[in-house]
Amino acid sequence: MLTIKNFKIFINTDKLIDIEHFSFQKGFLYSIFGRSGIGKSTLLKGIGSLIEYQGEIFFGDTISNKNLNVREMRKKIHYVRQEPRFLSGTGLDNLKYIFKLNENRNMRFDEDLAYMFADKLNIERELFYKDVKNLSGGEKQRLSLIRSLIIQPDFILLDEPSSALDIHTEELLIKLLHEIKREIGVIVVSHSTNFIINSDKKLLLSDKKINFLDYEVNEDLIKKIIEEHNG
Amino acid sequence: MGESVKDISMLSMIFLYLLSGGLTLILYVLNLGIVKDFLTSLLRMSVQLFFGSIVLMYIFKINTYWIVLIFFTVMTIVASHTIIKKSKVTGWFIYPVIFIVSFTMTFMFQVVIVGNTIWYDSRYFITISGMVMGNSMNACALALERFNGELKENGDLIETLFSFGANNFEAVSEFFKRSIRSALMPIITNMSSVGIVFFPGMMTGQILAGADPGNAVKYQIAIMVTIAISVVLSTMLNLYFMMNRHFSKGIFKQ
Repeated sequence: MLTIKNFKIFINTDKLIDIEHFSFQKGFLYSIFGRSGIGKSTLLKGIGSLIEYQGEIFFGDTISNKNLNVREMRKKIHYVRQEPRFLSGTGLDNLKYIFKLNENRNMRFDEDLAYMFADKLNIERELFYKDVKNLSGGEKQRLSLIRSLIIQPDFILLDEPSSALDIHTEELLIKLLHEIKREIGVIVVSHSTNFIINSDKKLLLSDKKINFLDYEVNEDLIKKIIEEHNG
Repeated sequence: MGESVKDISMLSMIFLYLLSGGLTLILYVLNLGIVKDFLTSLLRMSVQLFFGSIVLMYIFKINTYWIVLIFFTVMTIVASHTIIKKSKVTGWFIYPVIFIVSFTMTFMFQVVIVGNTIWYDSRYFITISGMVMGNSMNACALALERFNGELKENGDLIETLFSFGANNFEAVSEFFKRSIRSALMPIITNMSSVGIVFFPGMMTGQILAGADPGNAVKYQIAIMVTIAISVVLSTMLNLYFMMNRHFSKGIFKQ
């Protein structure tokens, strides 16, 4: 379980996020949506300990950002960018590099695990041997997701993970996320109505808060809700 | 040192400035847009060296450790200020880094390599530290500018590495290496072509002053190694402190 308490994020002096209490459970695929500029990415980056925030992030019942170092936090509650960034080299170089970091010295690169995810996301194995700068946007996005999954975080925070994917590949991604959600909690920020509809818990970010929608939604309703909360 | 260097007459100096005037005219006619820069630099060089020679004369005459330290401190301030201006970074740490590295390396050159028992012997200390500091200054300006530019451009990659548990240094090490490499290139190029393509100022000076070329070469090797070490140390330290300025509470700040 991942709980955020008295969670506030300020950008310059504006308060963008102000959440008193919210818990995410493993076993569910959460989707967060809302109008652009409302702070969805900011919220995810905050929970991923990549930007400054106030408050506490609990991980389980007792472990929180107060007693876990920030590097550990970032790995356990792990943020994945919408536009992935890589070091120069091949895809495989990039996957392996992660395990060379001092913090990950006790972990080993599991090539089979990487290939397993690649298969599920319809990525050819040859792609791992290509220079990353020659990959398409969609290929990079999936490679980046694989890189993040093989460190086996406890929660994964995906920022628009299907923005560069076609509808078929997006379906594969949603399927994969449902498969892993018991081991790795999944929180997704997305504009894709397909993604939102196929998630287990739909969360609307508005008025600096997370609002849980406890009713069924369809495409039109999602669009309407986002519009209503505009401004 | 044998016979001393032939003096250049006042008439010859006037002739040189007339030549510079001719050069200015050519630059003007070619419309290169650097006439003003050239003239200012010429003026600065002349004034600085003129006063420099007077100051050096006095320092050599007094030759005590405190006058050397005062002059060395002034050099440090000017060099650090130049780094800040050239690289467009701010940081008080540049001053102590330049001071400590240049001082230590000059001291080593003076006492350990040359074997001079008076460490502050100004004829050596001021001139050698000038070469050491000048090279460190150029290298640091280059490295700091490059490093800051890289960090500004690659914030997203740094954030990505952070998300995988990288520590501060791991997140920027790639840019750290690139910057040091770029700062070291000039001195490495110099080392490989020295003696064939050009004879450096210090060696030429010694030979002109009548020194045995073999001895001049030993000095040249000693100073080049000393400079290389100072360049590496000062850029590494400056980049390290610069790096820390980009992080607060473990979060990257562009």
